[in-house]
Amino acid sequence: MLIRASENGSGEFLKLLSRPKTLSTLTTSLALALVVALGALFLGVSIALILGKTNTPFRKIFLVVMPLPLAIPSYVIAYSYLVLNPYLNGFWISALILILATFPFVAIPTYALLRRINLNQEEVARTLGFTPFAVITKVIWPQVRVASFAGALLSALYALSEFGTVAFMRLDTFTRVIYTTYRATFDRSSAASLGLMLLAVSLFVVFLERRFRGANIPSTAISKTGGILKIGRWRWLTLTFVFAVYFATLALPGFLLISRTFQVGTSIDWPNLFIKTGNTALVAFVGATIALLLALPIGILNARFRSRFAKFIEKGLYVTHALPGVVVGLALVALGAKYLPALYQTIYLLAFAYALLFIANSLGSVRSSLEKIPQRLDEVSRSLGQTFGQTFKRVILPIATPGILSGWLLVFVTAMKELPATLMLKPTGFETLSTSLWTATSISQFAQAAPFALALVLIASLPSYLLNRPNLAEKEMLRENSAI
Amino acid sequence: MTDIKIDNLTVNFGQTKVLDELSLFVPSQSLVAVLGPSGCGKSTLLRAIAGFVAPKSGTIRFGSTLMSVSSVQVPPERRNVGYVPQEGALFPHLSVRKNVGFGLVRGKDSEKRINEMLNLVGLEDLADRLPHQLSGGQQFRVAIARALAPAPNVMLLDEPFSALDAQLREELRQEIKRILKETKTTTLLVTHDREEALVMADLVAPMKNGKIVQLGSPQEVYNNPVGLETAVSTGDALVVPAIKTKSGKVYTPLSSKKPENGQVGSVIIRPEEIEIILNKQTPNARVFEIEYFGHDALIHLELPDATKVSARVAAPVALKIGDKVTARQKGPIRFFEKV
Repeated sequence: MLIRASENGSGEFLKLLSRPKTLSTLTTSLALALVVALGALFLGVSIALILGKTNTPFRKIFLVVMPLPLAIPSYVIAYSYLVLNPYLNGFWISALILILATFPFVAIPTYALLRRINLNQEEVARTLGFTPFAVITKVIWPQVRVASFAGALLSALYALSEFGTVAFMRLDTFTRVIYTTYRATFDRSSAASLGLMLLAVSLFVVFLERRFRGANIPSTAISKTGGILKIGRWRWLTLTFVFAVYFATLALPGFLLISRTFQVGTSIDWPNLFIKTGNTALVAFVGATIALLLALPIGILNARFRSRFAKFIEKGLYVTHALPGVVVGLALVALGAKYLPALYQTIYLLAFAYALLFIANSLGSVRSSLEKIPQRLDEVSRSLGQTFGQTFKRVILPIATPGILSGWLLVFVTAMKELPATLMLKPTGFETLSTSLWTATSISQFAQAAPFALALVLIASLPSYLLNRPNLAEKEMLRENSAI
Repeated sequence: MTDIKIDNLTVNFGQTKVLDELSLFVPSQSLVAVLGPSGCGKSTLLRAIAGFVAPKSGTIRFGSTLMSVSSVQVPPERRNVGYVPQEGALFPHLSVRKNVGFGLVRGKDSEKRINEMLNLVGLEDLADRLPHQLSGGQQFRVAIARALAPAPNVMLLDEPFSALDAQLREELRQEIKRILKETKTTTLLVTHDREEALVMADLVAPMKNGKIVQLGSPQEVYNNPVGLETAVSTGDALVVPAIKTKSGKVYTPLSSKKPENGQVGSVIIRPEEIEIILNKQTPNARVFEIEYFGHDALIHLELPDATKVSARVAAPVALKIGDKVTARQKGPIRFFEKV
């Protein structure tokens, strides 16, 4: 699809490459990705260590909110900062917002690994003469760093493909330049060429991330999880640090959104807000369902038949996770306008874009839910006279459904927050919460945008809460499997 | 009920021959235990019989019905086998009752059959529990009831008790044996636990390198193993150097005199076949260690030529380390030539 989009510019491509504007866009994008990755690495590892290894007060509360920044679209944080000061713009504030929005990519896996390291290792190191600090740098850090680096690369990938934040902060990275080129001149071939460059950079980052993830250290069985360091008076400093981070990421934006919404108060156009919320949910629903329908057969083939073909497709689809929304938007605009006029300007093309963007998530959940079911269960069912089809219906599906549904919900939530592809592919006159927020903010009507932003955060974080709530049935099933 | 007849069965995993022209006969209504170390292919044998593994050659028959011949396989769901894998593998989303009824065609007879089965394994009161609400032993009983419910041609048990603790294992062995005898079910059990094989089975079949090397009653296999490894796999065994003269007499370090020449080989002695005699004029052994188990003890002895043997004696033990005693072999002599 992308090749199609760039067809008319093979010679132009080189010219475009040598344009100073292109070069500065490339440098800005790469610099942003690098700074965000380093910032997220620092912030994520610090938070994970503070919450996982020290006796900082209120750890438990901060642990609960740890993944929350991921539920809030970064452009909503950017929007709320603009409410505070409409003149904010540029590289550093964009970088700061992206770091705050993505550091959980580092903090969550780092924390999880920290807690999995066996206490015995730490105790052995202490008996061999290591100080508590040396235990962290020489024993713990080498075991968690791979996960931390992989998380930082996810942050970099996010920074490369993020559109809303950089657009609000008027920073010319690839995504913004592509969008403005496309909108201003309808010069699709140079937009597509820029899209290809962005795609190449993103693919490279995904490739790096896969390499890192492959090198996971097998962890020993958890008997006792690692110890907590008593850090004395320092714990007030760490508390201040953690508090400041979550204040800037969650509390301040949340407060601003709510206060501005109340400011608008009675003039909120409720029917309009409801329609847009409904629109948002509708397209995301269709998109998540398409993603699931595509992921299901591939996941089944992979988990139960080890089909080589399916493995290949799965690897290929995993790459979609590198696709920036602008690129998919651009490609589908070209495809839709040229070959699928019936779908062009309908919500189905937009839903398909969502499916394409987030199918990797869907696939992951289908796969992990199926792989959790031991093959033995299939065999017992077969020996009891059930064909494969019956076994699937009576055994595999009932057990895997909760996991598959939670994957669907994840895609649904993520799709609701999508901005660039939605802007490019939405039918004329069709508005979602994210596009309404975009439109109002673009013309500096910050107060009018507040209800949309707040509604977006609410519908996006409610399912996140459901997703993160420990699933009772699943827990029991796991316990049962380990108990027999 | 039916017998199982396996002829020249070969199973390959890639280049590795897991089963090598294996033949085995499981008589109708009997319980046969295949005994072998992990990796000898015994689980593969079970899975081939159940239909989860396609053999390269050879045949599997239930009675006169062919189940597997070269390229033609009856699919697992049409073999009517009861399969109980290692961890029981209960369906975690179904109650005990639904687990047991899983292989039955729904109808008014199925309820009756489920109740019969629950009664058989003594779990009527737990019928509506979910698997995770049961203890390990109860889960195993459900797995047995589930496998028996459709009245299978044969039962296949894969290391059935390995995940259970020692005391529970002994209780369940007796109970499962009773149930299988009561239902007259032809059963093949594979295990690496020699005690389990000897206690439960009518016939024990030691397995080695993808082949069954012997088939006999527990007594036969224990007393007359066909090879050194079989001897060791069926119980504690001492392998002692020995010489066999032309006249057929076998001399070991325990014998009084040593012949000049003869065939060199080894003799298998079970520790309980060595008798220790105290207060004798000519002691031939010195006690150098005592392993005390409570009900009995292993006395480790050193013979004059530095050969070490162990004798099992019933408690109480009157010996102490350093005692000089006479050790004598009282059991059958099993001589194996040196290859």
